[in-house]
Amino acid sequence: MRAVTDAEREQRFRALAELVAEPVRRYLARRTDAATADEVLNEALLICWRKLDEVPAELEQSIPWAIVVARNLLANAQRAERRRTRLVGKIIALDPPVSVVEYKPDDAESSAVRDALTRLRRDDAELLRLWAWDALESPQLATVLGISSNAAAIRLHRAKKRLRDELMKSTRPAGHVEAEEGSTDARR
Amino acid sequence: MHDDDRSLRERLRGADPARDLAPLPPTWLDHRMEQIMTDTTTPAVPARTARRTWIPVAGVAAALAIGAAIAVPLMLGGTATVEPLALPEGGGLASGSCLPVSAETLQAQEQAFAARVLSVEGDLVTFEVTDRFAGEVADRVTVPQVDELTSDFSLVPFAVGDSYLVTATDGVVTGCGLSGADTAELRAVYDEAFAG
Repeated sequence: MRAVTDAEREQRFRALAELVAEPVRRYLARRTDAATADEVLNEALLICWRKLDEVPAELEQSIPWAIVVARNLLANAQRAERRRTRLVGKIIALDPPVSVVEYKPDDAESSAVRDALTRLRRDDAELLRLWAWDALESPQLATVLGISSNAAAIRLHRAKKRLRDELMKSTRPAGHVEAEEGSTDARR
Repeated sequence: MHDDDRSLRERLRGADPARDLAPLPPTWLDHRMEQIMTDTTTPAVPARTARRTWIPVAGVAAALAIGAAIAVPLMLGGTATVEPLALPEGGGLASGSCLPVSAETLQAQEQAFAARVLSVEGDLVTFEVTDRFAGEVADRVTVPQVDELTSDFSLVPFAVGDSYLVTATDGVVTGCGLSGADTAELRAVYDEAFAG
């Protein structure tokens, strides 16, 4: 096999970074605070460089691959933060932390949609966010979730139906919502 | 994409908190790429020998971490989270047919986990979750005891101390052989479905 030259490696990395940096940055901005998002984006780009040989060859799979890298780094950062919080004796939630994106007071429609998302199971809500906000289709969702494309399509179909049901129930604007979405116990 | 799907996606996008996020300044990415490639002249690939040395250590560390994940929250005075699940009505055979027990069928379930029966009190069985493969699963799960008369034969009454592999969707345990005693055969299908 022909050795990959440093110049080729650098060229591949530049192309990859230009493709994934913005989607990964947006993925993080939706799920954590600005400082953590910056930190994780920096780290994710470094991992992209270090693991360049593991990046899927198909272009459309590069973004979900990078999102998985960012998700794992974010989970580590959040675990570390929870450990710190525990050490100072504060009350903590054992569940993954809530999104800290600050929602601006906006139109009733956005509030109703976010409110409906908070009432879904966490897995369903995340799947819908990945689909709509991160613009991933079933094969890409499959990469992020580590399941087959078919299974991802089935789960997405169910999640959409549950969201539609929740939206139907919203007869009036639900107002400002900052709460964590439904616990694992929430069954709809 | 169906019109319904398109309109749902648009509604969701209208609620995207990053909708108004300005793009990264192009110079930021250029600078960061240069920094990464300069600081790390060659990608760090761990040497094989070093990797082998770490495997047993990592294994022990992982085992300790799993133990701690269960024990620490409880020692800290936290209460174990408990999630009730239902058993399938009519033993999961309401539709008259079962999906094949395959990795793909398992992946389509929302929750998948391994658990050991802590207690059986009357009709209520309490499991301690020992491993999570998919979805969010509480520390403990309760289910009604299996009624042999209505079960689909793939689910038999749960016994204290025994270990099981369980999948569930929409709060209902899936029968039809997808959930059952932690046997080598079922474990192999779970491993295939949830490897890595």
